[in-house]
Amino acid sequence: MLIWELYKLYARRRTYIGFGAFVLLQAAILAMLQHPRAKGEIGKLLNANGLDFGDHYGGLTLAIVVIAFSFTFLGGLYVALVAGDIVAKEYEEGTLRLVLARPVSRVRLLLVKFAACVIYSVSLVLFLGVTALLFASVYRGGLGKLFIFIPEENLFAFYDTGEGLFRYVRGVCALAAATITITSLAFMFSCFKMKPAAATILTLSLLFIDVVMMNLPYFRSLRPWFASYHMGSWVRTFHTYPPWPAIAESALVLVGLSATFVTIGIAHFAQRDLK
Amino acid sequence: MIDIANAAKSFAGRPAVHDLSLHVPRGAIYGLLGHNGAGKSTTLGMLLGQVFPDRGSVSIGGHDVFADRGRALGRVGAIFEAPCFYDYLSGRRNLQVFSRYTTKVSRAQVDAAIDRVGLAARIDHKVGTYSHGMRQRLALAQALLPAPELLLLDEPTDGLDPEGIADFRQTLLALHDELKLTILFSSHLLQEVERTCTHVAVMREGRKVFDGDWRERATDDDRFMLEVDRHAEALAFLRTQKMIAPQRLATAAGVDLADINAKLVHAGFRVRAIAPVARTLETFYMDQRERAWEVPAC
Repeated sequence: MLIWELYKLYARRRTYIGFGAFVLLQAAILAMLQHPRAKGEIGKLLNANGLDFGDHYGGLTLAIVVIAFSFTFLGGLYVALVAGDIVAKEYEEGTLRLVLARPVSRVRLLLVKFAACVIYSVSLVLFLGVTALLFASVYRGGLGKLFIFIPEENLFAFYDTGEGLFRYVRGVCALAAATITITSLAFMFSCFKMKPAAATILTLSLLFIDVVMMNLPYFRSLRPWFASYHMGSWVRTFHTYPPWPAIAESALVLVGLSATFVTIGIAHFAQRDLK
Repeated sequence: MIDIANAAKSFAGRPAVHDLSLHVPRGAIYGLLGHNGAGKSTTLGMLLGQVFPDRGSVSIGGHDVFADRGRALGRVGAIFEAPCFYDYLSGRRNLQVFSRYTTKVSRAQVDAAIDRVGLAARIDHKVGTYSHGMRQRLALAQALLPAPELLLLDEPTDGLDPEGIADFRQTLLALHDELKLTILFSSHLLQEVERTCTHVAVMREGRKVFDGDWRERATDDDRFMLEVDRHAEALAFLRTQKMIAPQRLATAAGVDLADINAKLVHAGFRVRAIAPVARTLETFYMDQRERAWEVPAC
């Protein structure tokens, strides 16, 4: 069943909007980084910290910049779009009624659909990770060394190519895992009786509210209460000494949230009259 | 094959089906008749486990649809009013996807279903390019996979042209003969039901007002047509004489048309014609609806 669910998902053109948009955005960000002012800003930062511009302004560093910007703006949108569609769109189009005329249980069907959404979300992030590194490396003529600086996270780190590549792969995998929480939220709304667009918009609205509130200075001490704080824990894997207990706690919070969203969605759908 | 016992369902406090009991024997072609909103689709929804009854039980082949869904629906094919498919997939892929929710089917089984509905020439085209008639044929092929014993059809001929309706009817009758299928057919096209079904159940406002072999019951039909001068006065006269039913133009018990004719002539009415109404499903159905106004529904 999962194979056919994936077949249906990947046979739709709109599934590829996310992949296409990321390629365009990556190209745009890399093109903008060509600008002497952008190069100058990064060069200044590297030189101020005693790092060589030529070594550290490479594929790995730029791939992190590209991922950080492109996923913040588009990642949640495309994951929510697909997961918000997965049940609500089929209900709206009438195919779900035909599927549920078959002897398949609703719970099993929804678990398969959720698994398909998770695979899509992970594949989208991995695609982003691979293409960002590929494009940035081609653009800079190699992987170079990894440099990462995020003041809000007190993160300032630089690594050789080998260690940098390992950290990059690990960070992208952590981002993919964190994305599953957005998938779960959109999936839950999709299980309710609403238009697919409403499920996507609700998910993005909640995500947006969460991010905005977390970033308000008054709530700084409450940051661990916001989901986006935990979703951002992929960045913390880039610390020289990653705070593993905090990262594990974030992972547990995200697993708990995802399980709650999926359970609510499935429990509601299992009791719904389909007419 | 189908047993519904005392099923009831309300939506937002509005009753859709009242205390419905229905038995569909194996091998029957059963017509579920009723006006829009009579409860036909809710009944089919309950049979497919898509609408949860507030009370009562629903079983297919002796298996409860809600407690033992796998066995109850394992040999059931269904078609809905609007044939919905994945428009971006070919007809063949759609058949593979839908049948996979029941069990794995071989290519030969899929090809046999396609040949049966006459869709071989376009089966590898995207469904988005299909006409309504082709979609309905694809829906039938889908319902035939993998190997149903029971077909549940909800207004299957809606939107088809006369040729499409005739084709669909012929295919359905052939399937019934060849595969010995039991068919439950919801429709408001009386002519189609008359030509196709062996039994009917008539629903009105969520209640069943008739259930069984309508042809047997139609022999009891007592409706007649009357051409007479001062028509309204003649009817009032017959009612005061208790020779016709209170709401319908039908003979009262123990009265025949010769008695009515003699009475009218004797009273000075000029009778031009008096004859029993031809017994069609339409007259039977209308009669059931009118009777439902006279006596409480069963």
